[in-house]
Amino acid sequence: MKLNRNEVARYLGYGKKPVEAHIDAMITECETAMRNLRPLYIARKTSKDDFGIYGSKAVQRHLADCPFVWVVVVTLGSEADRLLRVFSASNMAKGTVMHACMSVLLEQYFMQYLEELENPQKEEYLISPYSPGYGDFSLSWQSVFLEFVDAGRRIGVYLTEAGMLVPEKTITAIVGICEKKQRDRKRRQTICDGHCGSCSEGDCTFRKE
Amino acid sequence: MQLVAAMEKGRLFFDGGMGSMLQECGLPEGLLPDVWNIENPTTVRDIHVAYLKAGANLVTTNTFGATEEKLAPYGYSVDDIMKAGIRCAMDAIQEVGKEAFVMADLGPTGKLLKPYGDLEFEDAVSRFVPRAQSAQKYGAHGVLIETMSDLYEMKSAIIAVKEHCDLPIFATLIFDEHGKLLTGGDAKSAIAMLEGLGVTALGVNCGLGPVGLQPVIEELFTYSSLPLICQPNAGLPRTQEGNTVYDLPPEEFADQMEKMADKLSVMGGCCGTTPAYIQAMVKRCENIPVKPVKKKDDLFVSSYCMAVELGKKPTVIGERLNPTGKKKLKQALKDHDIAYVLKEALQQVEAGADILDVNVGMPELDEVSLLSECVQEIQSVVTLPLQIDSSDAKAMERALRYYNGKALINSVNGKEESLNTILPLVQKYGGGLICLTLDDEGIPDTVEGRVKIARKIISRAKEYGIDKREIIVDPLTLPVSAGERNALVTLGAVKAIKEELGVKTVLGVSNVSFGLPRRELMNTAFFTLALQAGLDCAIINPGSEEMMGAYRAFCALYGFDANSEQYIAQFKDTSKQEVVKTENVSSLAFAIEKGLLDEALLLAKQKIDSGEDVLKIINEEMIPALDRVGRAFEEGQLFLPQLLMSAEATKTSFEVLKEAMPSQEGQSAGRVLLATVKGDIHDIGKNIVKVLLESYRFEVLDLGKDVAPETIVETVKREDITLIGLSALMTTTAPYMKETITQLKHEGVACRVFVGGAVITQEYANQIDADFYAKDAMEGVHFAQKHFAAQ
Repeated sequence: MKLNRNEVARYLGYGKKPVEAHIDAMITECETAMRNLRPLYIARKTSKDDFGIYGSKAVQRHLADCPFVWVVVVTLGSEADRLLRVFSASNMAKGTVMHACMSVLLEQYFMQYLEELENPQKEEYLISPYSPGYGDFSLSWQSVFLEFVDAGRRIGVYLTEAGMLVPEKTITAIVGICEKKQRDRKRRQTICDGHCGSCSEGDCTFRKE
Repeated sequence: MQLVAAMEKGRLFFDGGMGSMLQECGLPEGLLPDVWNIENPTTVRDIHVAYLKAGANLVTTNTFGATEEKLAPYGYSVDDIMKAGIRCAMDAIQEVGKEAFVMADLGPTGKLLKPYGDLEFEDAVSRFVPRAQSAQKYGAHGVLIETMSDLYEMKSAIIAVKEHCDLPIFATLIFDEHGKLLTGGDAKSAIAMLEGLGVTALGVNCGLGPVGLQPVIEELFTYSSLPLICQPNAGLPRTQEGNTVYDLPPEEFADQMEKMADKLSVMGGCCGTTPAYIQAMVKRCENIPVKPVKKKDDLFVSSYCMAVELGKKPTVIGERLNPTGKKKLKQALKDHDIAYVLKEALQQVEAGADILDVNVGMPELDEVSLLSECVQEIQSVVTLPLQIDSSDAKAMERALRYYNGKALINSVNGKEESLNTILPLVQKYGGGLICLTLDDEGIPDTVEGRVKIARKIISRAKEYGIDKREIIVDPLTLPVSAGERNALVTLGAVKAIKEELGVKTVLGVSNVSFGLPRRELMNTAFFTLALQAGLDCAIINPGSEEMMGAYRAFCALYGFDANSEQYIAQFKDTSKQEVVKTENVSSLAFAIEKGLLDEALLLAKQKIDSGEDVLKIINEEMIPALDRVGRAFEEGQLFLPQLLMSAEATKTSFEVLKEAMPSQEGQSAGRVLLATVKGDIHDIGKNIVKVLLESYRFEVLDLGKDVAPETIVETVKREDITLIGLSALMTTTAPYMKETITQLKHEGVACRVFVGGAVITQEYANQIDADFYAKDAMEGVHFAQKHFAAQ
């Protein structure tokens, strides 16, 4: 998986501005260090009603046209966490850059996995993923997601006492399945290709315009 | 017959999957299966009976998930469930009327241990204790610790079992298709640790089907000195109409198991297997004899993920983490500056060390807690095995207990006290054992004298069940300036120990040149001679080009380095490294603004050497440069990574300048305490603030992450801190900020608190009575400057 360096720059706050040469070299260093990371994935399909999301208007709205959903967990694993510690031990600039690189790489693997879950022959298209913590979708759903896919046993993803995901570079999401025309309509409704459009955090520094 | 005796007589067969069998009998989704030991014991017993009739003679109790935490919602104690579970198994055996053994099943806690997660090692141990105690109490014949994906958790379970019952232990891990554990371990590192901890049999369960597990069984068989266990799934899972089914039917499962049978002392099945699978497997394999388990001669030490073999090729043990003679390290340990320790460790890894020595013995420090803390911190970033170095038995014990792997233990010697305190530790925790050839009468000055002590230690170790292969003798390097035959005796002893005693050897090489000029010349000569005499391990500074040169040259010359590859890799292009890049860098200010670390350091050194006034350099060049960078950051012209590089460049230059300053006074712009609050284990934000504060010459007392309010308050009071920075990443942990501030006010401490973090807002900061909300790291720095200016 080739790292999307523009995304890394965006995560680091550069927006569309150019990255300095030696910071760019750091990104390359991070990319090289990450090349042996193998992401772990798990997903389970269910009917939305059987899964039973409640307590969040935002999720209900988002999944309105989707009778079926995938519950997905993707992680870069515990070795990624160790690399993060190594790079942060070296110096904080490197640590910061590595954080951004890993977040971007994780997102890329996640989106690629979602593409694999799509099944055009069966008219199964995926709308944009929605995670606990978005909008009014409580973080307490995190543990429900993990248990539903047996994330602990299958790919080693757990929650700490305070509710933090470990390994750190992990994404959990519920992804609605619908027909093509509904998916396309949803895409046109949003400002960009999906993520920021359905999030209500207006003053997030990373919001894509 | 006893379990162990039965295993020696012939192969034993485990039962198959329990969970899916229970589901077929109506176990509701979401109900912990263990609960049916009490609520539906007949069904559980019937399943055991079915497996026994199918040919199993090992019955796994239905107690895989029986921890206090998981049972809490049901109102049963672990003891209740264990008692009932063991009862079901025993009743089944009685009903069938054959000889069989009850194995108390211990599955994982469902939590990740530190450093990957937040579960403390000792906490993990305590979660296994109740099952271990009940297993013994109710008459189980053995304990099965299974489906462990992490060696550290496996260790905690084994310790719990060893400390609370004396039943034989079967330990099985879950490997992936690459032969790796979830947290990175492989077959060799698993064997090293498990053999060291003294389990009865080890192996694999779950994860894959028999085909997928064949490679790891091969590897285990090659290296293990213990009997092997294999309990695969019924092939690989796939989804069929929303349900999970496994793709291998019983006969094919039996076919595949047959291929491995001669290597397996214990065979069974995991997820997806049923009595039909066990029956097919038993029928196919019961007459295949088990190959005798050969005791291996090799010595491995290991970390959480890799094993290093000692004795086949010389190994380098990095010596830098030892406070003796190291001013900076001493200071770092006193300041509890773990970041410095980690940097030193990583540099040694980079320089080519195979193992790292860790020694933090200083009279004014609490070595017992500091050593184990450093070991745990180092093993969270370094993949190499560690050598635990202490003369304090308590410190050694604690560090060994928390070490994730099989450590090298430095050391035991011939004195009675040492033998009596260290050998039991090695017996309990395992480890490669370094033995110093000195005793209550001192250090013998003859080869024979040193060999004699080595012999004594080896035979005493044997009494504790410590095999000769674990022994590495250090015949001690004495300075040649103190006795002209010293080097000869050491070299002679190395040779004799290898040839007569057949054990490995180690030396701390650099002592030989003590008191003489150009020490590196003598050290490298002695090192080479020692290697030729048969030295297996050398405790040296891997950052010394001369020493690594001698090492790499020897390896290349003696055929340990095919095509001199490693020698070439280390030494080609070294001449080019000296090129000074400062040709393009006009000034220290420029280097700082551009965040050029090496150049900044070099220029700072040059300035000091040329006699410039240190304070002038700091105040007229460095700080203004950093200010310019900070302003550019705030104006959005320059971004975080660059800001941090500039801060690091400033910080590193300061270190150099500090040494040139006449006194330590007046160097610090003020002391700030930083912490990430309780429950929060992410600290990048705090660390960024720390670097910036330090670059502005604030002294930062960093309490780390997951810090309880009480600890913060106590430290603030003790250290007279007036400025505290708190960080929290999540809404669930932000309340601890409030708690900390409340406690500080309650204690009447005169201080100010600034807060920051992803979820913190001005509004929240107002709510919790914080003195300042820092939107980013630079704001935190400005607040600190204002705070101390006003004092």
